[in-house]
Amino acid sequence: MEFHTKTKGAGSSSPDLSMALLPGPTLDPTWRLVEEGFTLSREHEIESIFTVSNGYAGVRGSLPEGSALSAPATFLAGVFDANPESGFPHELVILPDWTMGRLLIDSVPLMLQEGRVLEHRRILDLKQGVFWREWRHRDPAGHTFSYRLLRFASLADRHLLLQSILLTTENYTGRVCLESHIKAPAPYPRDSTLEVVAPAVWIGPYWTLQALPDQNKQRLVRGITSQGTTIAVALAHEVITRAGTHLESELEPVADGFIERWRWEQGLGETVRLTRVAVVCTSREAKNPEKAAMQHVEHIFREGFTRMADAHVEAWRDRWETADITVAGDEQAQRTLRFAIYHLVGAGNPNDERASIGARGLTGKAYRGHVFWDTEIYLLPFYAFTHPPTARALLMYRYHTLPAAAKKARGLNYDGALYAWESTDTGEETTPLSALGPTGQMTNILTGVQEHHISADIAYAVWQYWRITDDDEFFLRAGAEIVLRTARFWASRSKLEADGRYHIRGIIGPDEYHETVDDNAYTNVMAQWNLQRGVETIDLLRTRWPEPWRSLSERLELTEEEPDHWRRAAEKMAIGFDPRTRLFEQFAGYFDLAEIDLSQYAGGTIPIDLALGRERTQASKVLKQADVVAFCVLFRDQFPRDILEANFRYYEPRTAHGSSLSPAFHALMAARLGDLPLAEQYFRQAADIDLSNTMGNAAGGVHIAALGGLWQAAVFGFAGLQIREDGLLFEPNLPRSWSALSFTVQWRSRTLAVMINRDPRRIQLTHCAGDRLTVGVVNGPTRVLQQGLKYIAEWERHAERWSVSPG
Amino acid sequence: MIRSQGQSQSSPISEAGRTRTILIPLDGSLRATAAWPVATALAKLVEATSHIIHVTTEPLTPEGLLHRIKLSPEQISGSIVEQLQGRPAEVIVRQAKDRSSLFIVMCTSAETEPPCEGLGNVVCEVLQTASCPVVLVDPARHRGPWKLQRLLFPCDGSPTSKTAVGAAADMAHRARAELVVLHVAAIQAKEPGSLAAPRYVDQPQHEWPVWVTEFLARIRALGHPPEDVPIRLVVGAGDIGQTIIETGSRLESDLIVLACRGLLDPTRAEIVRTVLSRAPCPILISHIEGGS
Repeated sequence: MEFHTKTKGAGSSSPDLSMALLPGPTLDPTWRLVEEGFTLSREHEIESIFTVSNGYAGVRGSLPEGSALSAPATFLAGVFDANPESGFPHELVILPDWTMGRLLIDSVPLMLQEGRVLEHRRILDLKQGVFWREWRHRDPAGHTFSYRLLRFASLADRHLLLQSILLTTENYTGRVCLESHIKAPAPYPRDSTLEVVAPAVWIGPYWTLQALPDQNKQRLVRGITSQGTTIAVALAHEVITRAGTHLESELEPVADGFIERWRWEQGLGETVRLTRVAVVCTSREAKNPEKAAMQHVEHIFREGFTRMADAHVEAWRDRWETADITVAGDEQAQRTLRFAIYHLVGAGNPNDERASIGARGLTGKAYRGHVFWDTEIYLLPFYAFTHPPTARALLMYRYHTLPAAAKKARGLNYDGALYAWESTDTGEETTPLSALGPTGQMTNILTGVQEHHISADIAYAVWQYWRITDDDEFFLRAGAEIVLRTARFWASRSKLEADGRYHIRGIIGPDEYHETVDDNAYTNVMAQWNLQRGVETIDLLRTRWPEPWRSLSERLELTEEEPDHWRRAAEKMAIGFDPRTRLFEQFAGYFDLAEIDLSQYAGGTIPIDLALGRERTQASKVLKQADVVAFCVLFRDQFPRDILEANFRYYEPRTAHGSSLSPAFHALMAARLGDLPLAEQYFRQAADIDLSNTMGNAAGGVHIAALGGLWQAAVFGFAGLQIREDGLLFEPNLPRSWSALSFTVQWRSRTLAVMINRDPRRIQLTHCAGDRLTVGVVNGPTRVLQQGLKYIAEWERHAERWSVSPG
Repeated sequence: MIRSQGQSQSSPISEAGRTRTILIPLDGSLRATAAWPVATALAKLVEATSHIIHVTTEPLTPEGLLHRIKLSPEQISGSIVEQLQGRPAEVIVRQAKDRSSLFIVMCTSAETEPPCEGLGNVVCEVLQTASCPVVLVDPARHRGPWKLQRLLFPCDGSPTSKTAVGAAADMAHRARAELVVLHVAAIQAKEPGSLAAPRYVDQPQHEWPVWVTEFLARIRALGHPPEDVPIRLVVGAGDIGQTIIETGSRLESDLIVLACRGLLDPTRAEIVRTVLSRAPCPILISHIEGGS
């Protein structure tokens, strides 16, 4: 590792970049999000959007020196703790803020809101996975300095979090101090109150905040969760000045932790590099996490920060190679998709089977890290097609939480496995039973008791993953058991009634505006599918893997009668389909409900159930999200087009999109139906969920499922990817503003590069790696491709058909 | 102290160092005196001197002036009383500016003038031109004492409106009153950094508490209300003006604080007029700048 300092002349306007760990932010505007200036009220949104994460930890894009609205947080995936103060039993662990660092020039703290901001921008560098901050400032006393920060959560070494600042004193020579206050993290907001209580000093129940001095200048912060997980954060700092590199720090114990200070003399125009690393280890992956963390820090110092930074950038480069989507002709859509992919990559960890992805990923406190059905339905396809090990890890989390799912089913007098609506590390149900609503009334929360489709959703994801990856080892080890135990649940949940049909009563579908309904179409169709796959799984195991089958069937005590029961239940499931109208009824009695003209509320941004009131909403056809459209999306390749069309046209005008999941799936379906203006409109709406600067939606974290939905809208919607047993088909329909779309997918250990042109309509499929596979266009010619060969199809406008180019 | 026009300007009350005044224009009608209990309570609250002005073309003796404004010497003890000449609205606004008045406190309309959608013409002009906040009192209000125990502050979620909460919070702090912030989920403010009611409520048990926390955090960061002021957030939906009135009644608010951009401009006029015409309590209207 090289340590060096350079002195620049007075009046320099930027730090000496030769000292930087990385050359600089990516310049291509489609690879970066930039927040110029500073809008205090947006701070929480910006922090969420500018989070750096690696699936193990996520660090919000907070300012090191803080502001009146700073909410710094570093989240640790998969580690939860009980908080007796909260209405929620388990919350994702937040680490003490290792990014905090206040600079004092001549004893005056540098604050963005004091003095004159000469230049300030934050850049989320999507390509390199780096948060940058460029700041030039004149404090009230006239000290002028420039500052460049980079921060990353290493994708190459997921335990490593790093922040490095280059500070140049442009017109000052004298004392500079860096002050870091390590204290217990800010708590999650108290739940269910519309009143602000006097701010209390929160004493973390589990953090041990002594700084343990170490000969290598490390500090160790240790925490123990109520469930006994030890978390160790080893902190180390390096201040490179002209005078030397190993500055002694002063340590001041304070009531809520400790303050560490580094002081040095900085010359006129001199640049100093301040680097802090935090290495996080837990007892989940290390027997002695404290020792492991500290040794890891030593390793990092031996290797050098530059090498760590390079490895991180290299890991992102590798990840983008399989994950990137390029859009020609629409810079905003391009940036939106890369923003989505960036956060999706940062949310998943292929190495951790005990963690899944919460509703806000690792970017914010909202939802407290709780995991919902979103992960399997909205996120998993991205991972399965771009990074199967991450998809597998997510499904293994569900496998490991099967005991809790079985317990929940038993608790409600059902068989099999009923997954928690809100899941944390154990998989036990963590949905509260009531909560205060916006107008101050206490409302019963029924989702934890009545929203059961999640079990089928997880089975669906298992099956999709298996189809996409051919990962038999996973299927035999975990996937089959999930499918069987969830099928068993549906067999007990559905009841044969006098009409000869199986019914599921007292249920909530994804459209949570309507509670305690009978035969929710989404639930019943998914249950039917789950039962069918249960039967298919048994047949497959029996014939292809008799030994594993014997073992599994014994362990699950599967009876001979069960497959027949499942088959009957699936065949006779009430799914509310009317062959005359081609419509599915969202739930029994839905068609009799009152119509509400949603166009009266067009342009409104408030949840419709708030505008109409809960009772009126429940008595109407207004939908939070269209359950029928949702399963039409999932089974888009099985339903005839006229069914997709009829149901989309019926439900779309009745959907208020009170769920952030809804717009992206509507974009996908509109694209599949060729309604490109509508598809574009919904795509933009989905993009605005996090990126609009006037809604504040992202303050509690990015909507990771909506981002997964955007990826699906592009790949399954606009590119029209369809999975076949022997390969992949496409039905491209690009929006008018997109001239081309290209991306790569993984399919059963093969890599296929897809390039689609809008006008002339053309598709090129390149088999980049792996065994041969069948590719083609829907309703057009298919070909079996060997590695290295291309499939090129062009649309003959006059003949209205695809023709394949030779070769 | 009663001072008629032309008298010495050397009253100790008006000297430098006693700049906190509240201006109370009284037109001589009985209706106008409805503002008096509110004005005196506010003056006490903000430690200001009550400054009564009566605009007239007719020179009055001190006794005549007292008789005209229909207040007893005991009632106005400790107050400044002046008679002035000119166009009433112009005089009121100029006096408020010259004396750096904290508020102008007056009735919504006088008996002698034709109503202008619930407001007197003088009031309309004062609202449009005054550089300080104006407190309007319904002339039908009883003449009993007024006490500030609960303020209602409608806020559209924009940074500008949140910044305006500071003055209301300061009053709440002085009165040890509760500050209720009302957000009517209706119009999406276009100002960057606005926080409207959440467009997406995926799981209400999570979304609403998070949103409330965020809304109040922004209010505290932007408006800098005193730490000890309890702030309660109430969310409503529907017609904004009507919801403000209903919430003010339901919560038995003592004062509604309307922070308005471009007061009485076409886009905001309807809301303000609705509230002014049927408010269950006095209304404090202040101009705010910026935003959308």
